[in-house]
Amino acid sequence: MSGILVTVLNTLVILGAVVSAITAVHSERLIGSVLALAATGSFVGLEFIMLQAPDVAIAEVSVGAILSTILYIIALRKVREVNIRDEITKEDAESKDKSNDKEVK
Amino acid sequence: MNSKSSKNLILIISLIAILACGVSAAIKMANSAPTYDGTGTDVVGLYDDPSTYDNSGADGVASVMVNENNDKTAADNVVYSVVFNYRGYDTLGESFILIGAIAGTMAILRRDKRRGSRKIVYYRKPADNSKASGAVGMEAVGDNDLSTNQYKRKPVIVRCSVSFLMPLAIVYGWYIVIHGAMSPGGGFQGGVLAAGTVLLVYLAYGLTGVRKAFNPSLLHVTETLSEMTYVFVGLLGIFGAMNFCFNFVLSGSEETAMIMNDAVGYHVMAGICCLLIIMLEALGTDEVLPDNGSDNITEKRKAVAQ
Amino acid sequence: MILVNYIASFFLIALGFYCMAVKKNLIKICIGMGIADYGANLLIVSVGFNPGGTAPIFTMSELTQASFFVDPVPQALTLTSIVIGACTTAMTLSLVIRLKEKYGTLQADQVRRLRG
Repeated sequence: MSGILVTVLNTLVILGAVVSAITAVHSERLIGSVLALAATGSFVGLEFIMLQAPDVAIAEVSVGAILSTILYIIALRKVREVNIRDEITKEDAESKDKSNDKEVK
Repeated sequence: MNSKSSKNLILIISLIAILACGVSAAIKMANSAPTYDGTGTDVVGLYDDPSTYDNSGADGVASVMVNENNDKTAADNVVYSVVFNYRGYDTLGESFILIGAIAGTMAILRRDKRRGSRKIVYYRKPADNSKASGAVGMEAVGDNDLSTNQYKRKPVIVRCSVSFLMPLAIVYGWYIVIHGAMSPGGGFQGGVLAAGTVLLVYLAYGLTGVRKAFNPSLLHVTETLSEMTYVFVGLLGIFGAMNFCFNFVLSGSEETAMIMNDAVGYHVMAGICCLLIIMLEALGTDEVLPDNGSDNITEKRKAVAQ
Repeated sequence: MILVNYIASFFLIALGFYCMAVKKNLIKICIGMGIADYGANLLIVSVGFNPGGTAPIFTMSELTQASFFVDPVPQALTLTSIVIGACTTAMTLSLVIRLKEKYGTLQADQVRRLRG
């Protein structure tokens, strides 16, 4: 019975990684894509533990799910696609356009 | 539109071809015999008395490495000894890539002294809740000049939690670096975890705190010094007429790979600290209390490009 | 030799390439690069897996009389690959920040049209 359980668990984790990756590609908002990328990294790290590779799992989670996400959020804040604080710019105040966190394909 | 649709068609066909080749290769790999079938490795006997273990029937490189690990190295973690002992040259190349990435990021995100930082002017909406939105009717109350204003502190819960958590973060990162030989871990993983200290300090004390706590030029100099330590210790094997990264300290539970592991751990920690400091400095300055010190929540800030 | 892992890793690589080739937003292109990195690392570690094997660490609590290891060499190569992926992400994002400052837009076809 443990053979079937392990196979089902493995398939579920791989399915989670694939679904998160498709969400990252097709999401409308950029912040949603970045969070889906972090979820993909976590699923792949979990898969590494199931493949008996604990060193690689630590490296993947700490780099792919934490450091890479933080770099993306800093970059998104810098290009003004994400408003962390309640800040409006001169152009926004004059054109009354406050929803600037959607991407145009 | 004909060229665009034909380009899309070619793209889709090539992607499907890559996917089909990959899947067929995967099925063929799954059906063929494995190159390394380690069923012949009696691990308990190997661990008890490694010098009398007979590895003449070894198949594949991995089997040889596992069989000789207890003889030639003093580490229990085979992946650690593969990274730092058997294939130390790959680790050298990887360390240089980290230095190159940090140098490149520093060169790209360098801020010209002529441009200066963004000047933000704080406005306050009028007391009567009129429907005027935008730039109408707002009065200026201050600006973000740090020389004349007071820097606004983060909430006290965040500051206390980070003061408690920061030594734990550093100790945990270095615990994983130092115990890389016995348990899962090593230089890279521990270095990345220990470099999370920069983010904790930024969370609690802002960019002002990061500038006071870390010295990026000192971090960069010591990072390159630790990389040179790695190269020098590896080259000592060549000077002694052996191979690169030769294990010349081996006695009891000490080996050369421990020096290289600590050097790589410090190198990765300092490198990622530098990278995070560069990107956080590019983000902007801190929030500043306006001159009259009011935290009026109907206040909206309006940025004036310089 | 897990078939699902191989198929999923090739699918992730193809998805990353699709995202890099079709999407116009620069940040989406960086995300595609990250997805291709995940697929490649998953493929390398899955190749070195032996069903029934344990982690390649000599600890007394995990040894049995007939245990054998999974392959330690692909895991060591994957460590290097992960750090390289993080470095390329950092450099690409700093380039995107500079492009936005200079051209004012994040769409790839508009960046090509504006010359200086």
